[in-house]
Amino acid sequence: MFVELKDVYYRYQTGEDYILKGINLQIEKGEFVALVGHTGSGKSTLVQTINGLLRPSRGEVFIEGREIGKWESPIQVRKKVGLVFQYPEHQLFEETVFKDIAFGPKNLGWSAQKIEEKVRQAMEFVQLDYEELKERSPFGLSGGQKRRVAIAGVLAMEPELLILDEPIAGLDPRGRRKLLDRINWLNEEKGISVLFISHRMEDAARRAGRLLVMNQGQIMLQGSPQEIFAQRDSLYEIGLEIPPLNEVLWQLRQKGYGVRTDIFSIEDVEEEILQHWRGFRCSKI
Amino acid sequence: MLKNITLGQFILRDSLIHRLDPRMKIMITMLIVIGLFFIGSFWGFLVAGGYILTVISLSHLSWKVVLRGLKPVMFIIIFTMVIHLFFTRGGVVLLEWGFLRIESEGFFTGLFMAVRIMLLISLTSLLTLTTSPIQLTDGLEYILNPFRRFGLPAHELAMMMTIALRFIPTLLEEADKIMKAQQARGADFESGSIFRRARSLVPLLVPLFLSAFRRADDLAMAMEARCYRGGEGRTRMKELSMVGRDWMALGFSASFVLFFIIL
Repeated sequence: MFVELKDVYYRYQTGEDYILKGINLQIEKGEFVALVGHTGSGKSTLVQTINGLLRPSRGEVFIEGREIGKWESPIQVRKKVGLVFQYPEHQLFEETVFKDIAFGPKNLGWSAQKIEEKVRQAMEFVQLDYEELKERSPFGLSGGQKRRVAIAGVLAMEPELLILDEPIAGLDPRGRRKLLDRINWLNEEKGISVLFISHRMEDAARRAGRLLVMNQGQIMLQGSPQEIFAQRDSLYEIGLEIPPLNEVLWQLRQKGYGVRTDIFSIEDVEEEILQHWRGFRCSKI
Repeated sequence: MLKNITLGQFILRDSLIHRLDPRMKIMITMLIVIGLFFIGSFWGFLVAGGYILTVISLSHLSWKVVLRGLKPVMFIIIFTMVIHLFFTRGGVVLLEWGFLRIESEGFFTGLFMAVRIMLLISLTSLLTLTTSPIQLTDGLEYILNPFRRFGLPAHELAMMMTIALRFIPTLLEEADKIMKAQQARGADFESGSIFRRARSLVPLLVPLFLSAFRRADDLAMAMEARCYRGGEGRTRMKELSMVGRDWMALGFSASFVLFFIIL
C-alpha cells in the first residue's frame, strides 16, 4: 500500500464544521485514480492531507506504511508525494525556466549534477525542449507552456505519486488533450502513480482505473468508471454529470433501447448504437 | 500564521457608536488624539481612559476585542517605556544599581508615554471596529473634499483606500495558497537564520506581487468597462447627513477633551 488514509477528519478550527468527514482511502503503486466532486466537496483539502501540508484533526495518513508525522522531515513526504496545485503557473518565480524547475530538487539538497539531470528529465517528461527553454524567463512563455514548467517543477523531485488538482482547467481543447495524454504516459511508461482531481467526469473517465466521487467531505462512491457511470441518478443529485457519451446511451436506454451504458470511447459507443440500429431495422423487415 | 491579522477589522453591531456619522467619528477621533498629547497629569489620563471605556461599552463590543488591537504594538510600548525609564533624567533617584539609574522623571514620562500609546491605539481601533470600510472612506472623502481646491484628489484617495481594504483578505488568501504550493516543492519558511528566512520569502513574494498586479490590471479594466472616470459629477445613493446625536457626541467628546487637558 503506497498511500493509506484511515478515518481522516479535518477542520480548520475547533468548533467549525468538518470539511473532511471520515475519509478512508488507499492508493497502490502505479494506480491512476481520479477524484471527482463538485466545488467545495473537499477534494483540494483531502489531497493536502496526503502530502502533509495539512495535518488531519482526527485519523491517520500513512505513506508507505509509515505515519506521516513519523517521517524525519516533511520534505521527505513531499518528495514522495508531488502535489501540483490549481493554476500552478501562478507560483513560478525564478528568472529562468531551469532555476524554477530546480527549486524543488535544490530544497532536497541534491548535487548540481543530479539537479541538472533531473531538470532535463522533468522537462522531457512534459515535452519541453531543454536547450531551447532552460535560459528563458518562465513569464514570457505561453499559458500552456507555463503550466508544463510548473508541473515539471514537481516532477523534477521524482515523486512516486503525482497529485494534480484540476490540471487542465483553463487550457484549450488541444492543450487539454496533450496534457492528459502526457499524464497518462507518465503513469504507464514511468510507473508514477497519479491522483487526478477534476469536477468534470469526462476528463478522468477513460484514463483512470478507479474513480472516487466526493460529496460534502465524504467519499460517496468508489469504483471503476463503468460502475460509477451506472449510477447516473445519484451523481446527478450531487451536482455531477456523467460524460455526454454516456448520457446519450443512458437517454437511449430510458427510451427503451437495450444499449449498454458501460462503454466510453467514442468508437465503442458508435459501434453499439449502430449495432442496435441495424438489429432494430432487420427485425422490422 | 496569516490568520491573526486584524488590521482595520470591522465588527457589525447595532449600537449608538456604529450609527454615528462617519465624518463625525473621524473628526472626534482626531480631536481626542490631539487632546491626548496635551494631557500632563495622572488624573487626565484616568479621565481619558474613562472616556474610552464609555465608548467601548456604548459600542456593544467586548473590551477583549479592543485590547487585541494592542498586541501588535506591545513591543513598541514596552520599548518606549524602558527607554524612558533608564535614560530620562530628572527628579529624585528611585533606584540605583551599578550604572543603571531610574529617576522619578523617567519613571513618570515612561509610564505616561506607554499609557498614551495604548489609549491612542485603542481609540483608533475603536474607529475602524465600529465603522465599515465603505463608511470610513466615504467620510474621509467628505472631509477631504474642501482641499480639492488645492489639487488634492479626494475622491481618488478614498477610492484607493476602499480598494486596498477590499483586497487585504484576497491577498492573504493568495499568499496562503502560494506558500502551500512552494512548501509542496520543499520550501521551508519557518526555520533557519534570519537571512535564510528572508531569502526564503522570494518564492512567496514574487508570485504574490505578480498576482497583485494582474488583479489590479483586471480591476482597472473592469472599472473602465463600466465607464468609471473618477469622482467628477458622481452622485450617491446614500447621502451622509449629520443628525442630533452626532452633534451631541461632538459636544460630549469636546467637553471631555477640555476636562482632561485642564486636569
